[in-house]
Amino acid sequence: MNMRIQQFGGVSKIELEGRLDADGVDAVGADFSAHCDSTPNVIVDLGKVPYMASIGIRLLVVGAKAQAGIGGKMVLVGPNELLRRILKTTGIDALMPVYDRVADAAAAFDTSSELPASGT
Amino acid sequence: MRSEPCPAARPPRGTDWYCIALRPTALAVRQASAWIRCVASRLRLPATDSDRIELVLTELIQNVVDHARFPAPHACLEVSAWIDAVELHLEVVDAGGAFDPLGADPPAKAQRIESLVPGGLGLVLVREFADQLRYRRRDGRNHVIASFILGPDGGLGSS
Repeated sequence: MNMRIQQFGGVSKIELEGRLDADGVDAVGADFSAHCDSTPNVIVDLGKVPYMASIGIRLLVVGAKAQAGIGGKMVLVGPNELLRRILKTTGIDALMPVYDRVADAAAAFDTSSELPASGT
Repeated sequence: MRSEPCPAARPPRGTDWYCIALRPTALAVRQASAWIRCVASRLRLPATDSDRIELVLTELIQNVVDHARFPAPHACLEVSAWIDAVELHLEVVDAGGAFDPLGADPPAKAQRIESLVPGGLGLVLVREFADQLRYRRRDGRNHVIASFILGPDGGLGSS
């Protein structure tokens, strides 16, 4: 599991790549949480995450709660069919907006002009 | 990790039966994950099937590791998998206290992210992604059997 953070004005995009399971959370969890604890308004790009277990959901939930605590919010973009079903089944999609494309997610922050129009 | 058919198995005639014994520690989740991926690869299951089977297995194991109280210090988790016609069956056996995952209450739906308690979602996923779940308590052990219809009638399109 790899993680890359890009900052665009008042929004950052965290791009995850790999399986969001126990090993994946071990690999990126500390950095992911540290960013969510300190930097408001996050887009989490799941376009390169083929699999997610409940421990991965926990990472997203803890990050989203941290965002709420610092006056920001977290949105998700690009989950595959499996991840969408997981997010829907657990009710997470009702608490964190889910978008198909980065540009649509950026619009949720009203900063779409600062983010690349294309992407996942 | 080995995933050979278990020689002591008692599957239906002509059926391969795969099994593994795990210590109920945090490492068991990773071991179970690697094992079932190996089994799925050997059985040439498509990702749509292997992903949900792995998800159910690892969530069942995680639940046991997190919550079961074992009366003996060297207790093991036993996991087996076999295919019967168009279904794959997984059985997880543990000697922890009696616990029926089918009867556990799902966590309350939160209205806001701030009030969401990130726990209990694993069994929600187990119920969603297995096509059938059975539980029995026998000889002081929990037996959970999860079954999956393989191919076009199961998988992600079954919900």
